[in-house]
Amino acid sequence: MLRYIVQRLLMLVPVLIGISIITFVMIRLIPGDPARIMAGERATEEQVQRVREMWGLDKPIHEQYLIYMKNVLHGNLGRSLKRNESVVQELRWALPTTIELSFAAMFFAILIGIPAGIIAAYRQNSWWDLLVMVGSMVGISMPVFWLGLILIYVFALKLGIMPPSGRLSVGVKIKPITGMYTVDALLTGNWRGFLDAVHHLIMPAMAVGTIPMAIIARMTRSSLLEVLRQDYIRTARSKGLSERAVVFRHALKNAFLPVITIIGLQLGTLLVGAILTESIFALPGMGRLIVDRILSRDYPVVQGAVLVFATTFVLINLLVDISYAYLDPRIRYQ
Amino acid sequence: MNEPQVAVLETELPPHVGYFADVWRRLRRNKLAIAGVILLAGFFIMALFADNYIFVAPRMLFRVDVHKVGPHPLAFIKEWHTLTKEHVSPLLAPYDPYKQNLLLRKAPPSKAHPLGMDEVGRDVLSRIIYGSRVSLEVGFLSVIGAIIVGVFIGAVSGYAGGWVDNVIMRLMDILLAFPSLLLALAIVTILGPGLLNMLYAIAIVSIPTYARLVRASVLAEKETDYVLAARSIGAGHLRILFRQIMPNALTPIIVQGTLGIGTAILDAAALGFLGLGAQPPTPEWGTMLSRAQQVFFSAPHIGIFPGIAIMLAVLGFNLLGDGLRDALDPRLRM
Repeated sequence: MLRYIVQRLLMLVPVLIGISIITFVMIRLIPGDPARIMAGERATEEQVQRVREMWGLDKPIHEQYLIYMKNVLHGNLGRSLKRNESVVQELRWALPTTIELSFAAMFFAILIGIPAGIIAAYRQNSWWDLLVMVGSMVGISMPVFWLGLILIYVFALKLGIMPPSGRLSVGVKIKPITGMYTVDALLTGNWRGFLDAVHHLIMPAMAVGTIPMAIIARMTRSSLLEVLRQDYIRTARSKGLSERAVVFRHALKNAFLPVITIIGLQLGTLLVGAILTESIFALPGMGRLIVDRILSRDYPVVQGAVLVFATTFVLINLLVDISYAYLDPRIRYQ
Repeated sequence: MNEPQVAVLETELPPHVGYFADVWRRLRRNKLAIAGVILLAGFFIMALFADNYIFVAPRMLFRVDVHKVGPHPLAFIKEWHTLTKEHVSPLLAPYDPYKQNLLLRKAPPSKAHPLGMDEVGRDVLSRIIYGSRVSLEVGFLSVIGAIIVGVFIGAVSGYAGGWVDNVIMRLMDILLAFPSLLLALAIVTILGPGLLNMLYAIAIVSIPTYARLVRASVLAEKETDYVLAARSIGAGHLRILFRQIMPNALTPIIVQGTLGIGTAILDAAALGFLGLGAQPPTPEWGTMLSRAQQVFFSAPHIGIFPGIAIMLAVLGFNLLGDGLRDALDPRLRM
């Protein structure tokens, strides 16, 4: 197991270097003087000069990269142009917001997706099955941001049972520790804050979680159907077990591994979903930050956010891979 | 004794059918796939006959004043294009998608305007019909571009093997380490917002998928006996690669490409929605939604219908792609 983890960590190195090169090159490919781009359009000649020195922009390109990496590894991603603070400070609160939303969305996707898939397989070719299959197909095809708008319209505006946007109601305060409000509220024993934060998370999580939910439902169904064709299931049936016992005690356990794999693969979908929904629900996360700052040409923040976002994605994928290896020993020996 | 057997064998032999005839024969049995085909046929008709462009353009070919434009072919095409534009009028679309009627701003659906008017008084139905052009163009062009580059990269990588393969595939891994939309955002940051740049971004993002598919097919086939046979009669590398090996990669490319067009349409809409894709007043579905967002609660019809259009178009490609996968490649069945 340890060997596998070390191996995976080593494989991570070139990918992380690749990500850093892409974000490094990104700024330099934008037409114009990189120093001017990093310092902002309204910067004085002095400020531009200071940026040029800090990032070594008058040196050869490979030296520039080394300086960039040195700065990044020291936690220096440059200064935000729009706000007078460092990029790291801006990301400090945006990242937990996005991670919280992604987890909430995944929770929603699993909560609905797996039972739906089981029902569809259990009653194959019934109306339930058709409903799940067609429903999941529609779910995959839906634009996430549009779904978000519809949810706000129906549940916040027409029915008035959900808050339309934001993370907390006016007057509710949560002491920030991690930046994930639900976690912070629990840590400080603030039940009112916790419920309020959850209430605000429900609709964004539904919007972001719909595509993963549909994919999980389809995978659960097909994987379960596959297992139900196996010999040992026939044996279980022939010894007179009820269909329910066959499905729930014998088949389900073996059907879950591909489902867990597909859940891990949905991380990208979740993060992309977050990019698209955060603006609609006015959540101050990474996605909203990136989009906002592309439009206002705050390139240092865009660069830093893309770097941190991609790195987070890769690291979470690593954790997922390692947990598979733990769950399924066969993977380690491949 | 033997004769009847021979006769049976002869009748059982299926008549020879070509690749695409065979695909269609298998696809026909799948009701969902047919639903997809019908949806897509609808969108193609909308895109083709939104106005009478395809009827006017050939006629205008003869009206271009050759003495006026001079010998340069580009000037000829430009003049032809402007002339055609002047004479084109809406055909399927009931109104001009750019024409504003300020008195009918945000007007709800009515008999004259079945899907209502948008925030500046343009007919929503007409804009959706014209929008199918943009979406289908972006979908097809980006996927075709990605396939061309991806096939080349994957074929070289798989066929050459060794360090070439290693380097190329590590590069593809790095690109795949980014969630697709994040990478597209990074590319749009460099190139700047706009329809064409968005098209490049979407194409680049999907290259690794095709490269990997093709590489896998090449690796599977290159050691087979028929490739050896081709080599032994003196066939060159290119001939072996494209005449012997590539036909085997056709099926996965067709399946992935069909699904990929759906994804591309969704991504294009997402970038348009974020304000980074097609710019107003272009009738693009995502851009329409972006505008509708601000008035969604007072005039929801402006946003609901473009969203439905996106969903149905993507659904069409997903249903067809899934059907193709079931029909062509039972191993990938899900």
